[in-house]
Amino acid sequence: MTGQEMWERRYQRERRARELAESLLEEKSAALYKSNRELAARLADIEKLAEKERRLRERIETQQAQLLQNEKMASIGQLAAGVAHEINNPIGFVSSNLNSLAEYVGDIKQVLDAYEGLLTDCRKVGDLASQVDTVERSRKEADLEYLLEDVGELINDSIDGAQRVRKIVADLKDFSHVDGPELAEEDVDELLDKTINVAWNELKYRAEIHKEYGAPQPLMCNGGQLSQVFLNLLVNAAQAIPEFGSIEVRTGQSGEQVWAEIEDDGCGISQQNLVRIFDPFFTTKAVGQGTGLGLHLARNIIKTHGGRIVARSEEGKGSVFRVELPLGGPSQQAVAQ
Amino acid sequence: MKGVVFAEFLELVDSEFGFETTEAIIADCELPSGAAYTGVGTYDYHEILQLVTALSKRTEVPVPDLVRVFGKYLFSRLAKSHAAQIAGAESAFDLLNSIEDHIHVEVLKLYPDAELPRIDTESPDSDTLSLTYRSSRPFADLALGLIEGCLDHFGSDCSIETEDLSQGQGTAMRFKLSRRAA
Repeated sequence: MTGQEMWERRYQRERRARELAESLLEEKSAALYKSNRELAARLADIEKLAEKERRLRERIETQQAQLLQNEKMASIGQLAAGVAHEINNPIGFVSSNLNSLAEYVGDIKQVLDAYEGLLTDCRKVGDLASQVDTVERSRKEADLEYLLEDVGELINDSIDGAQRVRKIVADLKDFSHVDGPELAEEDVDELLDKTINVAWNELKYRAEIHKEYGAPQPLMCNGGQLSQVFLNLLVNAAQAIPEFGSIEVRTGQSGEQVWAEIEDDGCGISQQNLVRIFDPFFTTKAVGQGTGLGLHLARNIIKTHGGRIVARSEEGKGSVFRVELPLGGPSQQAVAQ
Repeated sequence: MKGVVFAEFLELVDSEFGFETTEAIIADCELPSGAAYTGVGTYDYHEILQLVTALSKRTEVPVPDLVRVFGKYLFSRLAKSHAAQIAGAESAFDLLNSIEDHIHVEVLKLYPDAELPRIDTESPDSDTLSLTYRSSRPFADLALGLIEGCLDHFGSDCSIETEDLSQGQGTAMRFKLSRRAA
């Protein structure tokens, strides 16, 4: 083989190798392009799925909010008769006071008219005795001293009654408010007071309420939702007391956590039921008295706030429900869950 | 077998025995590929066996010795073209230990149809490494050359004992590497 032939062969081999390499590269590029397109299509599918999941999650959230609102309205329904009674009582005496005041004003006007007559006749300087007698008579008949004393009391009582009505209506309005997702700084002691006020008629015939507030720092939370939890625990506590007992409402702060406890000396919960009380639709109440959703939703609300709710109970002695919440409000993780 | 192995083999023959020898052994073999190898192509491994056998005939160097020398050379070439990957290993043992679980995994990502040997390693102590080569192809000598190339690259002074596991077929071999005391 001559040198020329050798180089010729090498050159031919190199050329064939290069052509093969180019064709292999082209095949590889085509394959890559195809997988790229397939990947893009799969990505689009995944995005569609993600969008579907997002919508589904939104729907679940909306339904959850509706469920919460329904439960809230159901508890308000249960409380309505009591609240009506609470409003009726002050409205009754305010209305009666107003009737008395209307009569008093008529009587006072008669006395004042008599005084006016006396003054007119005094100006004529005649025989004043008969006029003075008329005035005295009118004053005695009206019992002006009593009227003046009672008017003040009636007005004060009426103002107090009207304020009570206003407060009950305001608390009820706060309570039935459709909750948005907004968080705000709330005073737990104040929330408990308002809830006790709304549920007062349900509580006062069953238990004496003892408050032991530890004045914890304001808490980032959804006030309406927390009131719903407290209402549920308070009404449950009252309903657990067979005749008349006591409900202890305690609050406090432990590090970065705010806690609230509601304890009753009622019938208690058996260990068998205690593990199920937070399950949806679990209830030991009679048909129509409880939806079985109250404690389940209460636990969901507390979980969404990044906190926890625990119960301990002894049959025949009573139950304690303790709610613990982080001071800074729910973390992002808890909100996402 | 990937074209890069063939191309490197012809390079070695060029540099060690001259262009004429390279052309002569190609002419002796009448290869289906015509020896027009490209690094990214895949070729029948029998072609390299033909080429080595032809080279052995012409140079009178035994086939196993040629394959082993080629293994050492191939490692030095791969170490150059894949310097970054080799630099990740702290020692020869470290690199040899990573063949099955790292290097072969990466190779399969690039060439899903690659047929790779199985390399199992064991370290009874820090100065000893037992490496078992198993393949459907008879390249135990190439594996030995590659191991030697690897030890040279890291300047690791080791003795190598071999244990034939395939009755002279060259498809399975255990290599026991022991560090020599400095």
